[in-house]
Amino acid sequence: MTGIERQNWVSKAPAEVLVHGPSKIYIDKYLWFRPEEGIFSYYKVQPKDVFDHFDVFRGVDIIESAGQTAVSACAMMESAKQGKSIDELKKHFRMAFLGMGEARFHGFVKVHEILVNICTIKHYKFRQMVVSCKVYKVTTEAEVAALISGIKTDTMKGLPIPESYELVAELNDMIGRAVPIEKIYNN
Amino acid sequence: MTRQDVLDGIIKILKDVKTVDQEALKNITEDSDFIMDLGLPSTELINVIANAEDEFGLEFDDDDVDALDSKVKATIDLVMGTQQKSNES
Repeated sequence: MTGIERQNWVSKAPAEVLVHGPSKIYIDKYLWFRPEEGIFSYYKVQPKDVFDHFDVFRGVDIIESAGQTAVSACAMMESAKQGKSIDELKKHFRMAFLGMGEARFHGFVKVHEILVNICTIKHYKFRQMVVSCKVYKVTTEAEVAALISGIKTDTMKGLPIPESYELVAELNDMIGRAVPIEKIYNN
Repeated sequence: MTRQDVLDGIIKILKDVKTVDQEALKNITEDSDFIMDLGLPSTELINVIANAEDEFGLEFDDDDVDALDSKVKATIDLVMGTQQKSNES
């Protein structure tokens, strides 16, 4: 995959990749994606997201944001594998967030703060993606940009996490899969 | 390779899966269900299929894996069918 292709995927709007309605999408933008290696995304918490929840983004929604990141990577991988656009892929498959392993929370995210998902791809086989994510929070978009500027090569290995990044959660073995639509509706 | 050989290979794989009910594994048959009878999480089934590729030296087609249900018989059919295709090509 060329850098340009990767850039095109990353520049896709999450609404193009995911099937969720706009109020349920917890990714503002993809930041970086490399097949077999990882995907980064971020989301700025909106007042609607903390309604009835004392201005704090729920833990389950932090998981959802990372899960959406995982299934986005799954869509990007399957799109490349099949040589089809994501729009074409979505006609035949649903990218489903199926499960996860251990979750550890270290902090919380408040309204207007930005959570950053740094997800490492563990494996992809038979349309199933497994990633482990570290979720950080920052307060400004400039800090988000600083993370990407830290990637000096084409790989995330050794990526320095800026000091201002506060670890919020470690979410292991997040599972996303491209499930054939007919399998969903025939079961 | 016979169907029993494949079943034996599947048993070998499942012996290393922590989530599998090892007592139930003693009574496995082609009619057993990985999820309902052996306690295998549905998401783990993909790993078992991936290990079956290694065990039997085959490469399964994604579409064939999509079509699998959770019955042991379906996985044996997949292995036998893939091997037959491999022999014919």
